[in-house]
Amino acid sequence: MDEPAHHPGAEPQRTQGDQVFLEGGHEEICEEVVREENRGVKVLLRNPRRELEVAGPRRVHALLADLQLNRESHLVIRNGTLVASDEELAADDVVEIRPVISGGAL
Amino acid sequence: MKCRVCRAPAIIDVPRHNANFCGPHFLDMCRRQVTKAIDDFDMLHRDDRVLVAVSGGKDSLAVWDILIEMGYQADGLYIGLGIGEYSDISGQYARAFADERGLRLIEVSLRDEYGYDVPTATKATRRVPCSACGMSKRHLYDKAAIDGDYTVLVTGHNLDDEAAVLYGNTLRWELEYLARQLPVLPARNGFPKKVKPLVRLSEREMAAWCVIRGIDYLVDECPIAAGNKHLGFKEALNKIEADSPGTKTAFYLNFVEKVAPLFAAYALGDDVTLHPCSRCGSPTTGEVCAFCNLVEKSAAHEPVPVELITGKGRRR
Repeated sequence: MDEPAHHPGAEPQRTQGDQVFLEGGHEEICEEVVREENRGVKVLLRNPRRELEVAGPRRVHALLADLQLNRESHLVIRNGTLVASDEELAADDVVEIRPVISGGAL
Repeated sequence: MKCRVCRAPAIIDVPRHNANFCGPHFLDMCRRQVTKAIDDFDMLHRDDRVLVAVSGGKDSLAVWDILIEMGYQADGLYIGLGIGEYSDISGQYARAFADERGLRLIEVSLRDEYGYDVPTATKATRRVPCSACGMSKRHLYDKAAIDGDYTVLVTGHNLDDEAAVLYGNTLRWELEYLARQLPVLPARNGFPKKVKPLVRLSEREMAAWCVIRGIDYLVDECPIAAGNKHLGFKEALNKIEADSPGTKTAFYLNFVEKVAPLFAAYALGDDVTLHPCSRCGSPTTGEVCAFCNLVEKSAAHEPVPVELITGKGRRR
């Protein structure tokens, strides 16, 4: 995903991915978690693919709760490795929250 | 969090076992669960010729990986469903997995060999997409297993899949389906033996298996399965599971042990006379089987792009 443009001194910018959350009805959550570019935990989400930043440090279980994601149906991955639910994510971490639910013809 | 076994830092929690694991001991837990399923339900024997239904997703690649690691002779079967880019990419993952391990992957293309694809079948038959897809896959899995002299057909259905189907069948008291919702279906009347070695492992655990083992798989959801009832049942069960870990396991495994035997008399098929389909030879109750009827309608239909089914390209 391309990095969104950032202008020094301007108001904190929202990524394109944040717009997806706003449309999805999580406006209050986004207001809390969105921070200035490059100063938070970068979070990659799927279905649809999008990206946002949250304030760090943040524990994995708290991050999932913030985003209203069920721990039973997601994994958190950092640098190709699973991250346990009580682990703290640092402000410069990049993590993927991967949905694990698939469904269709059985 | 520390690993329950070795006290090293854990990388995954498994609430239903009230346990945390490091990578190697998590994999050991998965292997034990598969071994227990195979043994408890008499799924496989060492001399079986196994055919694994492979989609390019986490479950089918994980079960193939586990069975090969355990020493079973297992080939893969991939069906090209023609669901646009989704199918193109899923096929790439299946091929890459097989190539990297020197495994045999049999491929069947609905479009090339039968003249249709799932989006077209959905439109032509006015079925919901998962219905046309499921019917096609079940027929072709059975056919490939019988034609290839495989003794067992393996699918990657996991605990979440089975619990969700059970939930749906229970809500409607579908007794015939409940009677047949077992981890093993024996060979009968021209159908192969079918087994589900992952029934003791959750969807999250199978995704974790792939991440730890470095297996690349198609993460994205099927574009035409989005919003189906099955996914809604999974979501509902996961809400319960989050508050009460172990519920899905108890729901499904206690059903298999305690309840399914009570429904055995409702099982379809045992008293039904089957004979060969006049077109393809597969066992059927009618003159022409449901799959051949599907092919006839779908192959005659103008090809339908997947965008028309997902709604992205639907005319207004």
